[in-house]
Amino acid sequence: MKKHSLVIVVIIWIVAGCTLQPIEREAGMIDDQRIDNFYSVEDVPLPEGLTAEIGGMDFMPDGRMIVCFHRGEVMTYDPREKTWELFAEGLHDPLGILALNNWEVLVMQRPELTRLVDNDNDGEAEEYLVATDDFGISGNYHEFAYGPAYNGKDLYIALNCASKNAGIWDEVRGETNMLGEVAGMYSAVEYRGWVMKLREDGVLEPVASGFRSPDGIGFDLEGNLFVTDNQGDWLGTSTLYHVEEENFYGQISSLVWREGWNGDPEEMPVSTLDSMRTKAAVLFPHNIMSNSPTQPLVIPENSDFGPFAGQLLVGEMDFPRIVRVMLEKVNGKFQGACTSFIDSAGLSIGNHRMVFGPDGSLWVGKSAYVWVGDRGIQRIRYNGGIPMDVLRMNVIPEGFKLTFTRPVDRKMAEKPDNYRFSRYYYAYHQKYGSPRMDEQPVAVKQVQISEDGKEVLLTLAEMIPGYVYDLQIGQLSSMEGVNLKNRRLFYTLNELPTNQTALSSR
Amino acid sequence: MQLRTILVFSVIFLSNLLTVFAQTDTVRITLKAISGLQYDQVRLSVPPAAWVELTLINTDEMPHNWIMTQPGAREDVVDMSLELAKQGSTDYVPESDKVLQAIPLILPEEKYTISFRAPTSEGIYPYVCTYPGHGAVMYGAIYVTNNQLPPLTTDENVPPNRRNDENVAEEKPPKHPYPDILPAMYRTFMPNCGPAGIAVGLLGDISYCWDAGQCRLRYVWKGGFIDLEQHWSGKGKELAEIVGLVFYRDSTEFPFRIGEGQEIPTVEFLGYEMKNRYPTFKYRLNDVEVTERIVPTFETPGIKRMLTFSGLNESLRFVKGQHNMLYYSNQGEWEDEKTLRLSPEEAQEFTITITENMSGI
Repeated sequence: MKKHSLVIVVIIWIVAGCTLQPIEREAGMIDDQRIDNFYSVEDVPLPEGLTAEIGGMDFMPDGRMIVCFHRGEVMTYDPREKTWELFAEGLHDPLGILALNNWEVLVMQRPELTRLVDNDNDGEAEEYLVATDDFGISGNYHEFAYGPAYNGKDLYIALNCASKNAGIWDEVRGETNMLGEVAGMYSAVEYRGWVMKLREDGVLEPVASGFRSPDGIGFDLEGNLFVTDNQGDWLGTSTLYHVEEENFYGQISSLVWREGWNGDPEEMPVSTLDSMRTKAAVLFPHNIMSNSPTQPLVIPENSDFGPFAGQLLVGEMDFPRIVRVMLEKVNGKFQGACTSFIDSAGLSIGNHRMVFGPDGSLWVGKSAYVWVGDRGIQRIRYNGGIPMDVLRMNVIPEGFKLTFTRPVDRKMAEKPDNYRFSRYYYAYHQKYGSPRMDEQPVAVKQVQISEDGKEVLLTLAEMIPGYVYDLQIGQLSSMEGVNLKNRRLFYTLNELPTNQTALSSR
Repeated sequence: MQLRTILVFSVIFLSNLLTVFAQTDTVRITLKAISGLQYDQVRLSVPPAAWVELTLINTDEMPHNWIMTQPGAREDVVDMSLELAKQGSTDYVPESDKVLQAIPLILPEEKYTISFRAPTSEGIYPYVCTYPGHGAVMYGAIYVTNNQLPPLTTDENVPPNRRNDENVAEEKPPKHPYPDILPAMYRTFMPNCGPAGIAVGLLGDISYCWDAGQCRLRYVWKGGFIDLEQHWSGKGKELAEIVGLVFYRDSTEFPFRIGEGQEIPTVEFLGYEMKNRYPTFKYRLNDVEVTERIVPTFETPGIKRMLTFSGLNESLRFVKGQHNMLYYSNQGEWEDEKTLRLSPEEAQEFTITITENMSGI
C-alpha cells in the first residue's frame, strides 16, 4: 500500500508538474472528499438573500451564534433549530463582534465601536450606543476597523491605514497630520495604524503603532495580545505580532501619532526605523503559507478539538487553508513556527473570521470584498483520533526540536535528507512586499530521536537569527503508519537560545 | 476505497506544493449552471497562459458538467458524449484531444473547482454541458485573449437566446435576507457629509442625511432613498448614491447655539434608539443631552424634527439652514428672519417642521 501511494504521488507529481493538467482543489459536496479523517468540513445553511461576507462571529451564552455581515446586518443563528434571526441592521462595514451576554453585543464598524442592546428580549436590538468613536476617519475607503478583542478587562481594537489609491475627504473626523501621508498606506488622521485600548472607564488610549492592515486581533490563553498584518509596504511578507504597549511594529506612517513626535518618518534612515521596530513573532511566507492572514484564534484548553489546545489558528484569505501557529518564548520574546492546520478537504478560501462553538467545533466565516475570497460559513468538526502532525517546533542552539503528535517511524525519521531546510529573510523597506532574500539550503547534520519516538532533534549546519527556516519534511509516518499531515513548516528565527536544550527523557 | 483516500491525500498534498508556483495572478471564475439549461455567464475572458481557478456551482435542479474544448470542437465533443451515453456510460466526458478541461457531472447544489493553465495561444475555446440533451443549448466560450470581446449581439459562440441579454446574471438580487422596506437606516459613506454618515429613508419617499461626526442634519431629499450597490460591491470607495432630489440643505456652520454667544457647541454622538424602524438620535451639545427624531410631513415634502434638550439652563437658538423653506416651530419665538429662540423650558420638548415652499421663492 505504501508503495502504491508513493508511485501515485510520483505520477501525479509528473503529470501535474510537467504538463499542467487540472489539479483538483476542492470537490464541493462530495462527502468523502470533504473529510480528512480527523476533521471534517460542512457548509452552514444561510438565509435567502444574504450576502454572506462575514465581518465577525461570536457565541452568546445561550448557544446562539451572532454574526455581522458586510452589508450591515447582524444576525443570530440557533445551531439546534438551524434558524437565523435578525438582531440589528444598517451598520457600516462591521468587521468584528463580541457578545457580552444574551442581549448585548459590541460591534466594530467603520465609524465606531457600537453597543447593541436588545432591551426587551425580543431578539432584536433597539439601542445602538457608541462605545467609542474617539479615533479619526478620513473617508478613505481602506480605513477599516477591527476588533474588539477582550481580555476580561479592556477591549482592544485595531485601525487600518488609508490606501494610496484614494485621498482623504475635505471633511474628516478627528485631527489630521499630513506628515502621516507617506508613500504606500498612510495615516493622515489620528491613530490610523495603531492598536487601541478601550479602558473600562470608557477612555480610548493608543497602545502600539506600526500596523498597516491589521485584520486580525486576539488573545492567547495567557492574555498575550496578537495581531496579524498583511504583506505590503514595510512588510516583506505577512506577519503575526505579539503586541505590547508602546512598541512600534514597522509600518512607518502611524509614527506621527506618537506622543511628542515631530518630523517626517519618511526622512528617517531605514536602519533607524528598523532598529525601532519590534519584529514579527511569526512571518507567514507569501505565496507559500499565507497571502492574507486574518483572525488569530486560540484553541481553548480542554477543548475537544484535537491535540493542539493552546495554539493559535490564523485564518487565510487566498488559500483554502487555516494556518496553525506554534509559539515559544526565546530570550523573553515570542517567536515560532507556522504550518497548515487544514488545507482544502472541503474548506474554501476567504477564511476571515473564526469562533469555537459551545460544542467545540470551529465556525469559519468567509469574506471577499473584491479581493480574493468567498462567501458563507463553514463548520469544522473534530472527528476524534490523533492526526500525525508536528505538535511543536522549538529552536535549540544548534537546530530545531520537532515534537510529533505520535511516535515517528524511526526508519523514515532517522534520515537527515528527509528534512529539507532552506533559510531566507524578507527585506524591511518601503517597497510593496519582498522576495525571499539570500535563500540558501541548510544541511541537516544529525538526527536524534527520543526514546518515546515523539521528539526529533535536528542539528543544522548553521543557525542565523533574522532568517525564516523553511522546513519540508519528506515521507514520514507514525510508527502505526499514519502519514504526516502537514509537511511544511516555517520557523521565524529572531532569537537563538543560549542555554542547551536536550531531548526530554520521557 | 483505500487507494482513493491515498489519491485524495496526494492531490491535497501536491496542490499545496503547487500553490507556490500557481498562486500569482490566478484568474478566479465562478460559473453557475442555472435553470433553463444555461450557464449564468456565456462568455469568459482570460489572458493567454493565465492560471485559472474555475468553480462551477450547480444552482439548477438537474445535473450538469462543464467541458472546455479545442476551438471549433464543441459540436464534435457533444456528439462523442452522446455516443458515450448511448453505450450506457454515465460519464459524459469523452477521451479525446478535443477535450481540454473538464468538470465532471455535479448534482444540484454541488460545486466543483478545477485549476488549469489557459492555452498559450489566443483563441475562442468553447465550453459546453455534455449531459445528454444539454449540449445543443447549454454552452458558452472562453476567450483566451488580452483584447476586448467582440459585440455580444453577433457572437456565434454563444447561444442565440443569450446574444441580446447580459441580463440573466444581472437580475437584481435581494439586498438583504429580509424585505427592503421603509423606513430604513444605514450608516454609510454619504456625499456632502462627514465620513460618519447616516442615511434614513422615510415613508413618502422623503430621506435625510444625518452626520454622526458633527451631530447634525445635513440635507433632505425626495423621490427615493439611496443606492448602495456600488458601495457594497467594491471595497467601499464608492459612496452611497442618492436616489431623488435634494431640496433642503443645512448651510449653517451649526444649527444650534446655547446661551448668547456665537460659539459652536462641542458635540458628542451617543448613539440612537430604533422604534418602529425610526431612529431617535442621542447626542450632547456641550453638556446638554439632546434627542432628535425625524418624521416626514406628508402634505408637502418636508420633515418634522422632534427634539428634546435636557439639562439646559440658558436659552437655545436654532438657525435656519436654508431660507427658501417654510419653517414652523411649536415652541419659542422667531427673533428675526432666521433665528428661533427657546427658553430652557420650551426647549425640553419641541418640534421644528421644515417643508418645501410650494408657492416658490
